[in-house]
Amino acid sequence: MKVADKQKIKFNLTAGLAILLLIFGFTAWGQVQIPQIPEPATFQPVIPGQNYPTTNTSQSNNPKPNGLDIYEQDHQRQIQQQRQLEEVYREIERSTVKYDLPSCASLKGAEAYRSAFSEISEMADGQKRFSIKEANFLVENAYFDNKANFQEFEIAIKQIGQFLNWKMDDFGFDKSSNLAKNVILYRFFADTLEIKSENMVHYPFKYDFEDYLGKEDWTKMFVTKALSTNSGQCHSLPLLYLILADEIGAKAQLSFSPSHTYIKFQDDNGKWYNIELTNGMFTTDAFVLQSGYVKAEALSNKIYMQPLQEKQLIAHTLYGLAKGYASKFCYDSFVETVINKALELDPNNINAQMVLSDYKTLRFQYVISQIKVPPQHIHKFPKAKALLDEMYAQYDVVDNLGFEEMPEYEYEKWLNSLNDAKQKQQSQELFNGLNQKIKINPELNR
Amino acid sequence: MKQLFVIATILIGFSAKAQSDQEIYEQAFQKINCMLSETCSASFRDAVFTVENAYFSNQLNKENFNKSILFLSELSKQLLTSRELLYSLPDRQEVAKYASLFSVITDTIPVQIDTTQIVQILPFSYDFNDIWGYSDWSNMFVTKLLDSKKGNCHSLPYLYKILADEIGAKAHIAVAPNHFYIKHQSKANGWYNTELTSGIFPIDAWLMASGYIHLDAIVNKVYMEALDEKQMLALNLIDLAKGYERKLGVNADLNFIMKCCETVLEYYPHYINALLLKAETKKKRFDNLMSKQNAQNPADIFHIPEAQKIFSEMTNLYVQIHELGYRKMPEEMYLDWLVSLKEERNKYENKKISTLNSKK
Repeated sequence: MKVADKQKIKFNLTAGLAILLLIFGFTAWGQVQIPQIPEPATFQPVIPGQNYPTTNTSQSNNPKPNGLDIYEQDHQRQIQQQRQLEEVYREIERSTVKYDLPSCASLKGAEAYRSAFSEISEMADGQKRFSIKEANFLVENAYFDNKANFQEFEIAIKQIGQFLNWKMDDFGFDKSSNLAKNVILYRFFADTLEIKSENMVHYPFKYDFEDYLGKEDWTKMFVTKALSTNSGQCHSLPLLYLILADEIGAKAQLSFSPSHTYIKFQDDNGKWYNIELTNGMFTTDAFVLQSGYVKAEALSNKIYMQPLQEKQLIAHTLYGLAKGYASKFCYDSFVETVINKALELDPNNINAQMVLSDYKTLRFQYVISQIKVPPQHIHKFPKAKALLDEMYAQYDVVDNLGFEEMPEYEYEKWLNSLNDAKQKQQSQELFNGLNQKIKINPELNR
Repeated sequence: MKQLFVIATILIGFSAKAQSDQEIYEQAFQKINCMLSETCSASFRDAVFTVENAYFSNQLNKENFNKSILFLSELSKQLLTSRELLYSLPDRQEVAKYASLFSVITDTIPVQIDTTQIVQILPFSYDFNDIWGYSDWSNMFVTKLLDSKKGNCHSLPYLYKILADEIGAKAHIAVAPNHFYIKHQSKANGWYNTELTSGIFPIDAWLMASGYIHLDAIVNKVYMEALDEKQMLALNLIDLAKGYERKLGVNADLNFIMKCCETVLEYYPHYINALLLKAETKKKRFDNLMSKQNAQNPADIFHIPEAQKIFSEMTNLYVQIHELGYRKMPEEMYLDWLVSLKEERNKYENKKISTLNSKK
């Protein structure tokens, strides 16, 4: 799951696309004045956006503008221009500026999203029992305008659960062991499992790297898609894992890392393990940290690498709901409502915070596209200014949580690094260690 | 008789000296404590000078110190006005200050004295000699750094923080195993690191890859937290206690060290160096009791209530330290790790910020 596919769009009207990188122009390099004991007003700081070029601090032989009268004329002209501008602004204000993004609520199929939202909200508020199977089905079915059949989905899950139970019997696993149940689940995803007597065989899931962000086809993110094609990505596969874990009574939890989700579970002694389902491997925390996009603040705010609790998992499904709606229809106030609910459940859900960030950016851009004022005049439109401030405040929230955008190619590079011999060996060692712990009869193990 | 007199004068002389050092340190403590409790106005710069001055029995020249700081802060102000930062987000003016500070510490800066003469002001560099201050404790000092232009991971970030205060820039010191570095926040990059020992902006993964930062230590903010003003001020009291310990040696009063630790922990409860020093001091107390009783094993003196109390406090403290995520980093590993940043620069450098270097 590559979440933050929309970058934070920084606001800069004059320069078009903002230059985000820190690039220093070292002008006037050799002309630094020797520091002296200062007198007040010796140093004229350069203020960007001033009308006249004062950037050159070297005491060059530029003559001063000649005569006060020229200055005065210029001043008068400016004042007049200013008045005219303000008149124009008042005019714009009087005409109807829309401060909310256009709503998609009346579009066909939007209703399905509203009903899914109210059902998941009931689960969040404890009026209805939460199950990831149902909640996730609601999310995906809303996209299909409620045309999918829950019974069919449920039967499919039940059958797999049955299969896994048989297989555990087959291996002689202790069914009260959380470790054993997670190992069988892991093998269901990563291995070929066969029950000859029943003539059943299941092949490992493949990582579907084609459109893994669901940019072209949002259903690429879906558990139902993963089940029907036996391939998925980092959003769908961990969710399927959780659904199946519920089915066979295993305890496993979802966990976030930059642009990514994976599985955490504890063995019978409380030791934690990470399962990376896109490659069907066991990973170490060091692997996650080596992505290079995990900041200390992200860890101390617990936005990454923590096992999600139930409330947080509900927030995650709401995030999926909001993204699905935005992908199918548009960003409108419904997206905001859903995300706010998600953040009420889990204020540090970074993916939801990013959706909110996108939403506020788009809303401001929509407003500015109507009123078309340069940034320094934005305060003439208090409502627009308030939206701009809100957008920046949201950027600060995201920054303070320790988020950093992970570019797609970096994400792919990181995920591919799992194919390194070292990572593979580490995974195999972890897996072997686990197998020893559950005392698998070696004759039955392959 | 004559001999006795000589011995007596020596003894009296020593005790008089010890006492005056004691007094100096007590005054230094009061001064910093006063800042921490907000009774006096806080100044990181004064606190640092107080600590270093106490070590030199108040013989340091404050005027020289002030002059050096003034020179450097004016230099960075001049840099600020004489070049243009290509950065367009709202915090532009603040970020420009960070850039000028970084240049003052790590770059050679040509300064035009008159129409014909240009003087090169050399950067500060890392002193690989005696990085722990074993042979000379003052190697850790900012005053030493100012004199020799060479410093370490203690003096360099401290100087940076002092200069940041002078030019009104927000800078945060952060703690890593055996190490300090600088953190800033910008709109373009969020939190980012400035490593002055090598003049590189490393990503957090470099610190995490040191191998001595347990995940829990980050979650519990033992390491890599951007310290606030109070916390940074509090760092100085541990420096004071350590200098005191070094200076007075066996004459050091453990109560004074303990007082420093306790005070720091009031304002910065998870400061790992304070917790460690506190635990070590408790251990010393216990050792003293053991040698007083001629005991071989700790258990031999458990019948003394005081000994048992100290012992359990000490063990509780070590448990707490472990649970916070602290793992001891062997000193020989430290340099390997520090150097890894230069050797594996490509892997650990924050590329977004380092554009600065290539555009020079």
